[in-house]
Amino acid sequence: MINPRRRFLLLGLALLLTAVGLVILGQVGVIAPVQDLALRGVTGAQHSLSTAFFNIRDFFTAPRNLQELIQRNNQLEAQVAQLEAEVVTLQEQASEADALRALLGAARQQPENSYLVAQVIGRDTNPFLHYLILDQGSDAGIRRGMPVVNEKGLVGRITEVSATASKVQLIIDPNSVINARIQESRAEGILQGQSTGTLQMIYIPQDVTVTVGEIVVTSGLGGGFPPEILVGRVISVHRRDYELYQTAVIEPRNDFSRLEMVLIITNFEPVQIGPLQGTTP
Amino acid sequence: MIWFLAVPLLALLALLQSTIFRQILFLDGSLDLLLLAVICWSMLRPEEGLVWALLAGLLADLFSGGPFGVTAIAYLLVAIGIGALHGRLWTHSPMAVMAIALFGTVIAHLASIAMLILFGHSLEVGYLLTYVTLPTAFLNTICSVPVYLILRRLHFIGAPVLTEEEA
Repeated sequence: MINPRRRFLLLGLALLLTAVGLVILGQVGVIAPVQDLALRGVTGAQHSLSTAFFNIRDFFTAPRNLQELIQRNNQLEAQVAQLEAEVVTLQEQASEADALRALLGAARQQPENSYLVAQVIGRDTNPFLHYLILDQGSDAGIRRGMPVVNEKGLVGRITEVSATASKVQLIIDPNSVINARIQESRAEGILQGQSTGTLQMIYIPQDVTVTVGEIVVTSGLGGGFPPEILVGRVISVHRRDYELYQTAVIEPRNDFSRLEMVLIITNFEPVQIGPLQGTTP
Repeated sequence: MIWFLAVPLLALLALLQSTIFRQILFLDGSLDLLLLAVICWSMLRPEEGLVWALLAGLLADLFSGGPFGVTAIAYLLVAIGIGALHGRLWTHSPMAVMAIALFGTVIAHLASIAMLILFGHSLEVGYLLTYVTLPTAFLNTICSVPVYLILRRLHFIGAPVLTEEEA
């Protein structure tokens, strides 16, 4: 007869080893089909629950006696956001045209993006990570690596896809890395997500003067995101003479805690540059 | 007897956790109903608490973009800790439930942070402990007694021979 406490510890150890085994299997990718199957079963319920939650939240948070005013304000805010995005795009195009006029024989052709609207139906249960669950999956043509945006700019990228749902890694997730450009100074660097909900731009050359308030957009380098998608603005710059690079803190334009609908860019093919990195000249 | 209830109950809690409770933030923390269920059930039935911890953790990981199994290990460590100390350090008073919910949350978060760092995530531990762990621990502590009382009812359904005093 095994002592109850000993039996408890043995059971605990066995389950702990099981969990470790599952972690390893998850890293190998064996678990993915099971996750896909499980998520497929709950997407419908999650969709209904999140819709109900958004409605209830809006009901309690919106001042109803000012409903019309709020509606008008929302329309104007959306219009301002759209115009700001257009201004950024135009400024970017004008800036590029100035720099490349001598080289470019014809106007640069911007490919038309195709979008798919998706609703946010869940958030990461782990409070230390920043992922969203969307109600569109591989059945709708969603694939891993597709960029996700909204009217305010870049949201993130698709990292996992099941048949009816997908997970988006937000740009503020600590593991998110984006090639970006500061619009006016033309400085390029890498944006890293921070636990604090901001972004840190690293590898900015020392010889560039970066000022607070400048707009940051995706650079398109690396092929992970299309260029010129609005990300945020510089809120502080850290420059030390003895360091090789300067860094900047970027405030994202999006309020990621209130995202309800997003757009997935479906015609963007992320470039896999991994094989190129291993080659020698 | 009530084993068959564990899976649907925890699945429902995971769904609510991802869809609703993770959207209601206190600073950057939120109520963790799954962890509370694991903590309370581990206090009531330590051995079953271990299985609940594994199930709840895996369900939470299903709705997470992080490495699969990390939450399961964090919850299991909490359940093992509670079970190992079962009957030694506490009675089933409200204060004890609240204290265990507080420490259980902190331990689960520390374990989760440690494993995420192990998997290469660059986390700002000080910030996360202050703005995520402490608020979550606070919310879990406040809600621990009602959750415990609800689960204790479930516990008595499965174990009618015990009186409340014995439990």
